[in-house]
Amino acid sequence: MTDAALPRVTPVASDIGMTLRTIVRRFAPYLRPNKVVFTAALLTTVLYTVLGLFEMYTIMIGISYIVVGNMVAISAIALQLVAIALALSLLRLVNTAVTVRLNQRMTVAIRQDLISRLHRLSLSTNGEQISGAWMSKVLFEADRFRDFLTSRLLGILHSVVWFVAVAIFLLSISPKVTAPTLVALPLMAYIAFRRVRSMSGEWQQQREEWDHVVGYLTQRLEGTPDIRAFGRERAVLAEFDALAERYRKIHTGLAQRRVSLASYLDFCVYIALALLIFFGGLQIEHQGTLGNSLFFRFAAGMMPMTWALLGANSMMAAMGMASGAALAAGTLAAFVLFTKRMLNPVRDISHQLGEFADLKVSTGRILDILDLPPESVQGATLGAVSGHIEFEHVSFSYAQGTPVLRDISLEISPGEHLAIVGPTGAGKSSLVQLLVRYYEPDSGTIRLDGHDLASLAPPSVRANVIVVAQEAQLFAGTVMENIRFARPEASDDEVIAAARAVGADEIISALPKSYATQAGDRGTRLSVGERQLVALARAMLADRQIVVLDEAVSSVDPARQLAVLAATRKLLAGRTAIVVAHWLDLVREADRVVVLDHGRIVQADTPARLLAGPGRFTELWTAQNRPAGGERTTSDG
Amino acid sequence: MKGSAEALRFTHSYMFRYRYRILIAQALLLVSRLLGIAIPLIVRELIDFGILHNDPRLLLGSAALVLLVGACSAGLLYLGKHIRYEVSGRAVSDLRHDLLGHVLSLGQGEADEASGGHALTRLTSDSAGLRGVINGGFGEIVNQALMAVVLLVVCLVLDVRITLIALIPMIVAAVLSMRIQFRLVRVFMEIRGHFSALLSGVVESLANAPVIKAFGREAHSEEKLGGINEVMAQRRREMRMRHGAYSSVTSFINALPMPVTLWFGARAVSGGQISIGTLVALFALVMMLQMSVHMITMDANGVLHGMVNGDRLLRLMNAPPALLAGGEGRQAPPLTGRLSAEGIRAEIGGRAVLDGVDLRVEPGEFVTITGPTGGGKSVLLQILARLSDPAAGKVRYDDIDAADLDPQSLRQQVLCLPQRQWIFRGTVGDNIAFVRPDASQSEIGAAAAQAGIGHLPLDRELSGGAADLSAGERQRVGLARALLVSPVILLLDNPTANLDGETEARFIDTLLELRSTRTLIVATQQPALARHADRVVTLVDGRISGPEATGLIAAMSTGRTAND
Repeated sequence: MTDAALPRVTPVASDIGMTLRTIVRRFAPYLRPNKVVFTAALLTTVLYTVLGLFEMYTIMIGISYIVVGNMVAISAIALQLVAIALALSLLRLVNTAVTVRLNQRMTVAIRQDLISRLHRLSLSTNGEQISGAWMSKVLFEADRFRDFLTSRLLGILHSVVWFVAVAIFLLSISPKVTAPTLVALPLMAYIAFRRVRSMSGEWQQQREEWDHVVGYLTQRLEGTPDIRAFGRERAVLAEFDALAERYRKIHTGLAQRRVSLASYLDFCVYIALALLIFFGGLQIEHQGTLGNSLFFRFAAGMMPMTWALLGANSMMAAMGMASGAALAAGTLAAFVLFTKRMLNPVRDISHQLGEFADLKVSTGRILDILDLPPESVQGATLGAVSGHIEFEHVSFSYAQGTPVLRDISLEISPGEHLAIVGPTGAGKSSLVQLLVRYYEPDSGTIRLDGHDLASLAPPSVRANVIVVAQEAQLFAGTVMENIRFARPEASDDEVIAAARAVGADEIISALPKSYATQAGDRGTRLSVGERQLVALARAMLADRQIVVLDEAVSSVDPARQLAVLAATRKLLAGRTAIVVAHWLDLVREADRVVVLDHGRIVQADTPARLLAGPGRFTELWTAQNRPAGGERTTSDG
Repeated sequence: MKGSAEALRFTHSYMFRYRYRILIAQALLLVSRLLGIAIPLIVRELIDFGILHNDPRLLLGSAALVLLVGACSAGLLYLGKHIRYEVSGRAVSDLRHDLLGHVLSLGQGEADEASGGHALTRLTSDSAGLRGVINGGFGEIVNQALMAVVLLVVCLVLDVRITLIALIPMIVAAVLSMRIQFRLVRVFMEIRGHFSALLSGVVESLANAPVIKAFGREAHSEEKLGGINEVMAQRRREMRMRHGAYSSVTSFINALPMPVTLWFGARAVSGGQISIGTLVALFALVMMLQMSVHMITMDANGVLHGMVNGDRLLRLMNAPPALLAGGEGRQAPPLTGRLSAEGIRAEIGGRAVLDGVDLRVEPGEFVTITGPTGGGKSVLLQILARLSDPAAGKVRYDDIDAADLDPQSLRQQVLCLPQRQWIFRGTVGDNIAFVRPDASQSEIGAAAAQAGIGHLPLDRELSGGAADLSAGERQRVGLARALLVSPVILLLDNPTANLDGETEARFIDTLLELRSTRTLIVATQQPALARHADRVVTLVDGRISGPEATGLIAAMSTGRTAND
């Protein structure tokens, strides 16, 4: 079984830089109007990082002063720490304000574009490519994208600034000692990058498994009535469990691998600490000048390298070697205090890079939707029409090779009431859908008041033609709101008048809260027939010159169907009306009946003349009205 | 508050299933953290005796001890979290299983909580919140609290005065954090609701795209969803801003123990009350204590968010299932097809749909239920097939109370085909075989042929929503499904509403073939179908009325006379 929701995931390219470029290029337009805010966010992040480093340095110095017992200096350091804390919290406030603003603006803009694109797709795209699942996933993606912007992007900046600041700091203290460390930094970055790369496949896999889960859920949620009807609940649950289990395994596995990385880094802190205690301690004992033995020279040479490899703690090592015992003791103490804080950027950057793989998937999907071609709104704008319709050699198919309409030519005069009948699958609904440009014909021309439909803007076509489909699609909200959807400015009285005119008022009034009754999610609280009547009233309120009723009241009881159609016909006097129906009683009042079979027009005449002679119409009529027969004819009804 | 407690109980019940493993993880993590306390104490000894008193052996010993402690701590951390992630993953799966199971048991139109996007949000993001409850939550609060107590005791032992002074800003900051988190939980709840509404709106817009286009109301729909989007982002921003403002204050207060400890510590060192090593250790321990207190407030926030999610999940779980009696009845024995209903009453959304319906159908009988729109036909079918339970009254199969039977075992014998067939993306064969995945290709083919869609290749791919199937073909896919199951009692809801005369006639022929072996109950408005029934039952305003009194029969007669 293919999964409708299977996304078209762009494979994670091995080349992160490449995709990153695409991401930057595509999302730059969202960033551009927020340049000032973005710059402020960057600036405050950098300042915050540098100030954090300064705070640590101050504490180190403070402890060193304690060792030498300088109380005046310590008081100054304490005050300095309070001042730094104050500056940090102010900076934090500003940083939050700008990142939150940036965040909000960009997510709103991206999500708004997604929503907008969703409403502007042509129906053919809609059916083929977008499922509810896919769309909803994209909404989740926008959220992920937001998280990425604030926590990841600025987080990476924080880590990078941290590294750069540490490097500059070290260089200023002791260029000789620091040089080998700086050589080691790119090496570290490479190791982190490699680790991340090894996980990126799993990230991708995790996302795919999750998509399967969401896709499966969305589909099954739609099919709940059928699943219940056939008693397939347990089977569906079992299938879901299997999918969820696959996701759980990969998700848990990835989480556990991340924990192993975190634990390993934790252990690295301890290794660093143990080495610092030993080598640093030795140095302090020897008043900063280590002996000349090979061991000490080796130790002195190794230290920065060791720290660098273990996690950028070369600063401590360098400070320990460059200064006297007091400062070294302070360094040691500070290191004990700040190990976590110092190593966090190292750990974070690997996480952040890991999530880059995730980001690529997210942005890829957002772009998939944004790149779908919108339905064209180009074309001439049509004023009010008289209702003259011409189909000229129109052919159409949903999928190549299976034609639905073949060479249809048909002219409908203004004010004519035309009926289209034919066996199931003859192409009746497709024919009327072409009329509102939901789909485009493969060949041939459709004209509205002499204008080629293809040259007209679809919205302006729809402002003149309304199709009431068999499947009445309602929205969550009251019956009143649903009818008013056609014309938001309509008053309550106008809404009720429209319902009354088509004979729906009686049914609606019988609902528990009349017009204020909640229709429920997609109208599920109303019966199918009730939904159809509400939809019909809605179409009448729209007041269009051309009205197409495509099996619009097929689920309403026959007596009411006849009454509703009679009322509607009266309402449509002077307008062009097309009624698609299978219950032939409904078409007996039509000016003309067109019989469609296998995508072709096989008969077209007044109902009376069609019934008088042999032909497809008569066959259909006979089939529909054949008396009860078969082997069991007893009937007590 | 009562609701919140219930929500917490609900989410924690999933955690409770794995209580032993969780306790082990708790213990491992606690020991791992407590081991961390040893490091400042080792450093204290090191500074006081190793460095300042020139004892190189102590250096080596300390380094080795630190490595040992580190290895144990990191190892335990790994093990503890490993177990926790395993457990939280499983608990989330359990929760999702139960949620989906419940959603599938709900009747249509009854529970807005279970509709499209709302159910999806709960099954995906809300349920994922349980992971946070297990990995953070109460367990972590307890661990951090224990850790804080031990840290406090050690600090007090080292120096009472400095500890107490440093403790003041910590407590103030913690209280402030908790306060803002409590305040913001409501906003968080609101944002979750907005997200859910947005998702539902998008799903609705997609489903109703033709209507939106027909009325040229794209801009309106966009605005509506855009409005939710804006409000949600706005609220989120407010929440973040308020949180940001508070946390910049608390972070300042939280930074105070450092200069305070430094200054008072320095005075104590110069006064000879404590050693430098003790001060450094105290410094480190105070920072650890601060971190623990901070983590407690963070985890408390996690609990609050867990409560919000739990509440949302509970609202779904509390939606009453369509079947009032629990699902675990006895297996249905082979049924003959006899069915009886007595005094059936039902309501939907507060509206009485059925009001005392009695019906008796004999094995092999073909009964049609007719009546005006909104008369309760579909609801009656649902109840007769035990897809939902009536508010009052009983349904019996062969004199067995339907409520005593396991609904799933019943579905093999009593089947009600909905009016609208669900077509999912996949092949025609997949769509038919979904009701019986074990069916062979030939069985599927036979069912398709009998249902009148033999001309559709079984391997033809259908799009979701099946725009490429005609209404009649859709209906026939449903019938093929039913034929594949071959129930003793088959109920059909308005099956020919969208079929033309010929197709309808063929459909009726198929039904007539079927009726020799099974009971058929069909809700219909089509005169043609009703005409072939053994009996016509008319449902008006939720009651069965005499057939001759109804407008429907009148309409049927006109249809017939016109033809005859």
